[in-house]
Amino acid sequence: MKYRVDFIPYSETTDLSSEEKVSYILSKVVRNTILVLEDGLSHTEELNLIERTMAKIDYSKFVGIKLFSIESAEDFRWSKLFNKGNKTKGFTIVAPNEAVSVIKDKRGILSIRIAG
Amino acid sequence: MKELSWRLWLKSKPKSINLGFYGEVNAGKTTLANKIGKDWADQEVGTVSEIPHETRTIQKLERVNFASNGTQLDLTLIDMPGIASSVNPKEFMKHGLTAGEAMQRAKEATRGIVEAIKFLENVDVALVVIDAARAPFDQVNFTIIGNLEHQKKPFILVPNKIDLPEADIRVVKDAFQEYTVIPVSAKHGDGIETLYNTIASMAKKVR
Repeated sequence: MKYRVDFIPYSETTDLSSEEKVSYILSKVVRNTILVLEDGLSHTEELNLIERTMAKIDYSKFVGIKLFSIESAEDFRWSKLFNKGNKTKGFTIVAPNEAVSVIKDKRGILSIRIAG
Repeated sequence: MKELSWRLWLKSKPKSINLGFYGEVNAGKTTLANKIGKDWADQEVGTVSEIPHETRTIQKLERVNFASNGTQLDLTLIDMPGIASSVNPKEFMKHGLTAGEAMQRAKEATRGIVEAIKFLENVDVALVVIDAARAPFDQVNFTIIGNLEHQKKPFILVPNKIDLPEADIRVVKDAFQEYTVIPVSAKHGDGIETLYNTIASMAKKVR
C-alpha cells in the first residue's frame, strides 16, 4: 500500500468550522493520505474526529486512524508534547491506522514509521 | 417545621455521583470498577478479559453506598467501553477468535466507542484509567483529559497495574504532572484507599 503525505497549511483549514475540518480530514485519510495539519485540532475536535471515524470504518480497507497532536514547544520531550485544555495545538498528524507506527525514543523524540 | 426537616433530610442524604471509568482499551477499567463494586456493594460491574474491547456497551452498577473521609456518596459506577481511534477485527483473531466472532466484536466495539463518547456529558466525576505498564502517550488519553477539562468535570488519573514489573509510575507522573494522579493496582488493591479518599474530595466539587 502506498501512502501520500500532505502538509496542510494553516490557510487551507483556518476558515473551516470544526465540523468541516473533521470532514475535510476524514475525506483525505480514507483515501490513504497522511495529514500534517499546521492548524492543529482542539481536544473537542479530536473527540469528534474519533466519533466520526467510527462511522467510516468498513473493517477491511479502513479500520480507523492514528492521531497525534503536538505542541509547538522548543523542547520535544514527551512530557511536553501535548497541550492541555481546549487550546489548538502546534500541529496535528492524522493517518490511516495501518499507515504508521510510532517509535518511542528514550531521548523523547517522536518518530513515526510509515508503512511501505 | 416541615420545611426544616425536609432540608435536614436533604443535607443528610448521600450525594448521588455518576462515577465514569474512561480510558484506552485494556487499561483495566473494568477490573477497577469491579474492585470498587466489590468493596462497597459486594457486586461486580462487568467481565474482564485479555481480549481487547471486552466491554462494548456501558455497564452500570447503581446504589453503591460509598463512604470515605467522612463523605458519604451514592455512587453509580459507569464502566465505559475503551476509547480507541481504530478497530481492527484482525487484532481479535490474534486472540483466537474466529473471523465471524472478530467481525461481530469489532462492530460492537465501534458502537461502544461512540456510546462512551456521547455519555461523557452525563458523568459527574471521571476516573481516567491508564495502563502504567505501557507508555502513556496514546493520544486518546490526552483527548479524554482535554474534553473533561473543557466540560469542567472533576477527574482523577489512575495509572493501573502498578504491581507489574514493567510499570513505571514516574513516566506517567512526568507526563501528567499538572493533574491528580493516583497509582493503583486494581487487581491487588494497592493504592485503593488513597483513590477512595480522592474520589470523596473530588465529589465535593460536584454541585
